[in-house]
This record gives sequence, structure tokens and C-alpha cells, in this order.
Amino acid sequence: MIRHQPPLARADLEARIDARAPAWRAEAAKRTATFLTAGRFAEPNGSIWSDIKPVYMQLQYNKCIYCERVLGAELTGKAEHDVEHFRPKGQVKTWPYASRKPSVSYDFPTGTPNKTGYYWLAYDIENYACSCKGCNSDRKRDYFPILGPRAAAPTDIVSLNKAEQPLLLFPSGTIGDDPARFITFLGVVAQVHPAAKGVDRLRAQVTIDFFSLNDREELLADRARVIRELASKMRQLQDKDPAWRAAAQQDLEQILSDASPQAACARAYAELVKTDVQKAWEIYQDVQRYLSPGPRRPR
Amino acid sequence: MYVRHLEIRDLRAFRSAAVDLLYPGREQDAAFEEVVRWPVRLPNVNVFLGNNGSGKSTLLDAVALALISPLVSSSGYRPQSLIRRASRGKVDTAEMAVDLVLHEQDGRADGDLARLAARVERRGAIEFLNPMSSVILDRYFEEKDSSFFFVGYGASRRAEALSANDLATRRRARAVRYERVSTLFEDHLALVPLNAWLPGWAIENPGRHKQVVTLLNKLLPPGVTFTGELEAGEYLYNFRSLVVPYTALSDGYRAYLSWVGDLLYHLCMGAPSGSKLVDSRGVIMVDEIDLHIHPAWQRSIIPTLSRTLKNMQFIFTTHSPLVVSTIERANIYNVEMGPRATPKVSRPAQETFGLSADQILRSDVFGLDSTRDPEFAEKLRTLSRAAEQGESGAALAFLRSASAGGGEPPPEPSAVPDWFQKFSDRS
Ligand SMILES: [Zn+2]
Repeated sequence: MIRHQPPLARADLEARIDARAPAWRAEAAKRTATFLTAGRFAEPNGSIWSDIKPVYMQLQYNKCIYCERVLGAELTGKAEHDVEHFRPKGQVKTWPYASRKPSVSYDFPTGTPNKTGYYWLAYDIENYACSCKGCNSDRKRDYFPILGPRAAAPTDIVSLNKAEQPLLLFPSGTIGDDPARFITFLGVVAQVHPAAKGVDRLRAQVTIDFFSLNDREELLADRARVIRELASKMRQLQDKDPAWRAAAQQDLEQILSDASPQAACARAYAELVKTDVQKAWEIYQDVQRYLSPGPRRPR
Repeated sequence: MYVRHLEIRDLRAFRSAAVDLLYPGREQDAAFEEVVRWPVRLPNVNVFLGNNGSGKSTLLDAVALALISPLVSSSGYRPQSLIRRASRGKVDTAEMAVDLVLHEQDGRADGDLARLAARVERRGAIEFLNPMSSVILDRYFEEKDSSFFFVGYGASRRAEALSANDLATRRRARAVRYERVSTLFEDHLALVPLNAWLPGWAIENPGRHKQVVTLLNKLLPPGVTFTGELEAGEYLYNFRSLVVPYTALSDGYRAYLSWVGDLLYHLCMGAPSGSKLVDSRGVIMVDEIDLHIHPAWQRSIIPTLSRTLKNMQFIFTTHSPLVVSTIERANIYNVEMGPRATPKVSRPAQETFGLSADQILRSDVFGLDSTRDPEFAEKLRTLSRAAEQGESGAALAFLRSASAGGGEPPPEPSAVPDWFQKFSDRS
């Protein structure tokens, strides 16, 4: 999980949305007004948030906001992206729920359920991000764990973030969190950042647990590939040919950039090579073996 | 001496448990009657398999406590929190007993049986461990021979610089038999490192010295060899094409060499001169045998120990599926939380040998059914949690083996290559 740079302020986001769909915000405001009157979210004629999906896809380099998986691009892969409501619009259910696998439990409260959710945020552009089905439909759904009591409706997001403490990280926009302060990686494994203390620690742990960042084989495989790619460029950096070395340097920067899959993992690994070269090497060997099962190739 | 059978009552989390253990030459008696293939491939290996906190270490401790019970009052061991804390009613005693098979090495006829039992009692805030056996075992109270040989290594084991002087001091604080298992009970106690005793043997007893060097090399994984040469007081090892001192080896090798070195020390001290070290019988207990061990090496570590020291009886604990794939059902006891918040000990219902880690996780040994997700995810989580606590490679190791199947040969460890190091040095 990363926060894409530079994070957008609300006005910048509005400008992008207006450029893509000029009438959208007016329509959204109209619908929000009816929800406010009704005191709940109801959309008998279908929603319109998918119309601005490409704005978020572009901001996120077509990656899932939570797990950093690369999804399809606008022309071919729009359907792979869900428009994710960070605060659920329809209802809030209890998380963790009893049948969740893998099961988790905490010694702190994770918020009470309710039947109306954050209905007034259904069309709030700062409540949106694009995510994969694995993160959204399988996991996020109508959950929104918070530490302590829920704030009263209807309150804007900035005030909400002061009035209630979300346990999930939301790495989007200037109102969001910078995940690099909360979560780091050891090899392919997401970990609570050692510098994160107190509530930050809890938020990191809950986010890792909530999105199963360490329990989804596809994510571990992606991270393994990124580490292998990084190492191959490190090797190429020692090539005799200066042109080849320059190319390696460019690729390396690309791999560590916001646009690359599993960038947070790649950055943590590059850092580990500098701080603990032995461990980094062992991890690389593990990665090699994982990615090339069967008889081992000579190195 | 080998341990045939262990029984405990009200020890730590356990209400009661009984286990039968394999040892070299054990007949297929009633305790093992349902085992199809006899003798088992590794007839001297016993593994307690369970998650952290499952109680598997308690079983090792129980064996050790029963074994030291005859001399416990003057051993230096202090019982602590051994008696089960009952939520209802009051439990004031705990018990443990082992049935032993003895040999000439113990001053008895080969095959003689004996039982050592002990009871823990609570008086006020203090617990007392009292021997309950009346058998007379003269040689047991000798400290300088190889009778009643047993060693045990706890999860906090480590070897550190220790001089001959330090060794003498330790000897005054703890009886030898207790010292040999003391890391099971006392955290961060140093083991005896090779360089504290082996150099002297090169001159005094070159034959024995040579045996130790050969043994060590058989016990090390491929890619690492023990040179027997010293530099600035540290033994040198060949690591791929490099020669490196002990202190430069990675955690896994040092953790392993720490207890193997200590084991060889105690083995050498007791074995009569002229005898072969590998002929010695005894009991070797190691808590978390997979500790710091490279995933691939986990696949070979138990077979290597078992075959190299084939007259020793091994009792290990582990939570690693990689370790389990190298042994059979008869070698394993599952230790898991049972009803009434007490651990339950049982043999796996299914064969495990040769299965891939993935298959093992899905077998009933780990209690997962055959639909890979989400139970697979649950186990993966355990491994990733392990990785979060520093066991790097745990999650990867599992994944790799799940995709590779069980037949993959253990890869050789290798040194950090130049190009990798250069990137590390780059500012
Ligand atoms: Zn995702």
C-alpha cells in the first residue's frame, strides 16, 4: 500500500472529475440531498459513481489502492476495478465477524454496527478509491472498523476523521494516510512499521489483517516477482557496458516508483539490501526458489 | 538409556497425557501396533508437533524433569509454575514419570527396565519437586561417565565465549546432569562452544579430536564444512568458496552449531577412551528444531541427525510442516488445544512422509480439509506471523514447497555475491 504522489486536495480532485464528466458533480449533489432528506442511502435507478472510475484508476496507476495489485487499464480492464466507498454507504456491519477466515480477534473495540451506514458520503468524491475485487467484494464490503464510538451523521470527512478513529488506512488524497509510516515489508511479508506506536500500530495491524495482506497467495507471488526483478537490475548495475548499466539504473527507479506493482514492498527490500545484506540475500534465494519450482536451475 | 513412555498429570496446561516413544531397536509392541511399516525409516526420532503455546515444550520439560528427579534437590534447578492453574477447584500437585530402557552403558544389563517418577508439590508460594522412585541406579550419581546420558536444548539456546574457567564455575553452580538440560528451564543460558574445549583435544587425544571433526562435518548441511582450524580463537568454516570464522556464519548455522557443539562436548566428556562416539546411547531433546534453520535445510536436518547419531534417541518439537514431511506418522505426536482448555496429544491419523508441505497442511496433521482456501490462508497466516517475528523466509518457504511438492532436494546455502554486496555498499 502506498500513497500516490502528490496526494490531491479536494479542489484538484474536483477539477479532474469535472474534466472527465462535467455534469457529474451537480447530479451527485442532487442525489446526496435526497439521501439527506430520507436519512438513508437508496438508489432505485442505479448509481453513477462508475462514471468517474477512470479518474481514480489513473491516479492509482491502475493499481488497487489497498493491495497494490496491477489491474486492467481503462480501455480493456475497467471491469476489474471496483469503485470502493471507504466509509460504507448503506450499512455498517461488525468486523471481525465470527465466520471470517483466517479468524482474527483483538483486545480493543472495533466499532458498533448500524443500518444506515455513512449514507451522506455515497457521492463524496473523497470517500472513493479504486480497488480490486479481492479487497472490495471479498473483504471490504460493508465493514468499517473504528476504535471507539461512531461519529454522528451527517458530518463531512475531515470532521469525521477527527470525531472517530478509523482502524483502516486510507492512502488517498491529502485527507488520507501515508501507509509508509504504518506498514513496511520484510521480503514479501507485510509488517507493522517498527516506528508506528499506539493507535498507529493498531491501525497498521488491522489493515494488514483486514485485507489479508499476508494471506493471499497472489499478493505474495507479486511481491516475490518484484524482488526478483529488483535483484536482476542490481546485478545488471555491475555490467561492463555503461549503456547497459544506465538502463539498469532507469529500470531500478521505475521499479521503486509509484507506478510499479508492490512498490512499498520493493522499496522496503531495496532498503533491506543496504541495512542487512545477508538477510536480503537469503530472502532473494527464497524468492528464486519459490518462483522456479521443480528442479533448481544452477545460478 | 532410552525413554519408552512418558506420563504426566496436572503439569502446566496439561490435565494428563501419555506418550510412547520410538528408540533404536524398539519392538513393534502394543503401543505401535497400528503402524504399517516397521521398523520406521527413522527409528530413533520422536517429534511433538504443535503451534506456539500448544504445550509441546512442556512434554520435553516433563521428560527432562523426570530424568533429573533423583538428584534434583542438589542440581541447581528451581521448580516454577509447574502445577496446573485450575480455573475451578484447587490443584496442589503435578506428576511426571518416564519408563526407561537401560544398557550396559548405564551399568545395567542391556534391555533392563526402570521407572523414574516425580511429584511437584506446592507449599505456600513455593513449588517442590520430589523424586518418587525407589529404584537404585548407582551409576546415575556418577558425573564423569556416559551412563544415563541425556541432553536437552531449549528455544533460547545460544553459544557464546566461555573460558575453561567459566566452565569450572558453571560446574559448581549446577550438577552436570542438570546442566545438560538447563536451557530448557533457564533462558539465555550459554551452551559450551566448541572453541572452549575442542582445541585441547587436538593434542591430548588426537583420535577423539578427529572423530569430533568428522562427526561435525556429517552433521552440517551441504555447503558448509568445519575445518578444525582456529584463527584468533575462533574455529574456521568453509562456506562455499570462502573461509569464515564461526562468528561470521549466519544465525541458522550458529544456532545449530551451538547445541551440536555442546552435545559433542558432553558426549566426549563421558565416553570411555577408545570408544566410538557414535556408539554412545542416550536421549537428545531439542525444542523447536527448526529454529533459525533455513527452510530447505529443515527438510534434511532430522534425517541427518537421526542417521549420523543412530544410537541416540531424539525428541524434537517443531511447528514446521517442512520438518514433518521428512518423517512418518509413527514419529509424530500432535499437540493441540483440546476441550476444557487443556492440550491434547495424539498421533496423526494420516501418513505424512514424502508429502509436500501443502499436502501436509491440508492433511489432518494440521487439521485442514482439502479445500485449499480459506484453511490454506489460515495456515499461511501462521507462517506470516512467524515471519513477522523475524523468521524470515517462513511464508516464502511454505509457498515454495507448496508449489514445488515434497521431492525437491535441499538447496545449498550460498554466500552473498559481489554484485549484491556492491548494491548494498552503494550510497
Ligand atoms: Zn486489492
